[in-house]
Amino acid sequence: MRITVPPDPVAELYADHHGWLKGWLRRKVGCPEQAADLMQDTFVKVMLNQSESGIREPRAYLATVANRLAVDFFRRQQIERSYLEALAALPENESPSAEEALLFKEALFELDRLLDGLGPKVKQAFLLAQCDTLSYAEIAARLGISVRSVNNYVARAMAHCCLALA
Amino acid sequence: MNSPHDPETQAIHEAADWYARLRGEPATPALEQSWQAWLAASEHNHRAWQRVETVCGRFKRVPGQLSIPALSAPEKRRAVLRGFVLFAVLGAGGMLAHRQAPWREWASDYRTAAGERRDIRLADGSRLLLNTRSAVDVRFDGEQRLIRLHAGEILVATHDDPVTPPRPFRVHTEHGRILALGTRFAVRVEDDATTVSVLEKAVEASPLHLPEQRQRVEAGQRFRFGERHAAPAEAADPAAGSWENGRLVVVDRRLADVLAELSRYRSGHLGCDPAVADLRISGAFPLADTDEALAALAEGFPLRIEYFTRYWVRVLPRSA
Repeated sequence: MRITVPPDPVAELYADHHGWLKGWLRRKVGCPEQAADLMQDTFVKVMLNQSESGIREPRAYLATVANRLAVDFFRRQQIERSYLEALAALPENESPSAEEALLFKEALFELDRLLDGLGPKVKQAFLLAQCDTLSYAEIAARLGISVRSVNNYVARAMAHCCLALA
Repeated sequence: MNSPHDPETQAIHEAADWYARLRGEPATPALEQSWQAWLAASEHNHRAWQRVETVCGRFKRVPGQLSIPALSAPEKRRAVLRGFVLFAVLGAGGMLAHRQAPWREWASDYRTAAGERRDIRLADGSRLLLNTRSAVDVRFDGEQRLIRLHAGEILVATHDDPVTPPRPFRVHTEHGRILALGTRFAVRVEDDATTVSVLEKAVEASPLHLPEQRQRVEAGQRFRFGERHAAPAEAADPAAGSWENGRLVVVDRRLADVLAELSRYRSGHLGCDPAVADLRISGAFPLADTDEALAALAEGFPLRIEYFTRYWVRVLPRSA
């Protein structure tokens, strides 16, 4: 990877727009601290992705990058919430330790990234298939689709995840 | 990035198709061989399969009870979560059982030869034990868990269905139908009738052509029915399920009946002299080796065994 960081254009971008971007993010995510974090991340991304040609519409560009990060942020929040609910539903003797719970959460974010872009049924069929306990017929019954579709969805999702592997 | 037609991407799609097939189809040597052949065909295939394994490894890092609700699509997450939590709770015991118990067994046919017994863990965690010379089809779908007993005898220990809502568990024979009510029971098919003996909880059973004669059979009872007739439920033979442990347990039964029972577990003819047919027999006899069971009979009672060949055996009075 080639990282060139000519500081000036980004510094300029930062100086001109960070106040605006922070306000924009705060309206989006509600929490000022999260907005500040996301703003930092946005500028880091911009630095890493800088092209030679420069940025023609700085605010539009910043908003695009920041928006993607904000979507990720919401997504993670949502995963975290569902994850906590699922944790709470586990019988006490099966609860993971705090350390495990953290590892699981990080692993879930990674899995979510692999699955990103798949339709909900494809995703569900694949998740159920990953658990090894249900037959395709049972997965089909649960999702209201045919056994053939389960097979196709599993194949499609697996190819998608393989291609998404870093 | 990869274009859809470069060999790398092509191999990944093939690997994913193989994964889906291997996960979904019953394992056969033929399937295994053709997969191996594909794997060995090119370096691309090999690398693609490694990716499949990597992906599986990543998913294995988080238990399904957590990953499924957490990663299911947002718009449906709530509704789905309920179902899965229920599944996770009900399935907690079952999950482990499933691990040794391949999901592949959802639709399969099983047969046993004379003297053979088979212990099968079904996809829902239920246990199915086939006695000697038995034949069943197992058909699980979205509606029901169905076992068709064509011949012989089975013992069923049902497990809570991991699917929500739970599907009924049924056993059908040519003579009628049995509905399990969370239970352990034995079903035996003979030429003219089916007998169900309940060991725990209860079942409902009805003759094929007299569905209105449905009978609830409780633990300790047995119910014998044909296509068009049914006897009232009666006390079950307490040893009805003793074959489960590989023994035939009889208390005060005619020798002729005991031999008829033993002959189910061996090939060839096993008969007795009319002079001893009514001799009353009690005891426990090993089913794995019926020759040994016969030797035990000859030792404990005034009998002797006459072997003409291994397949033609008669039991006679000892003095004759």
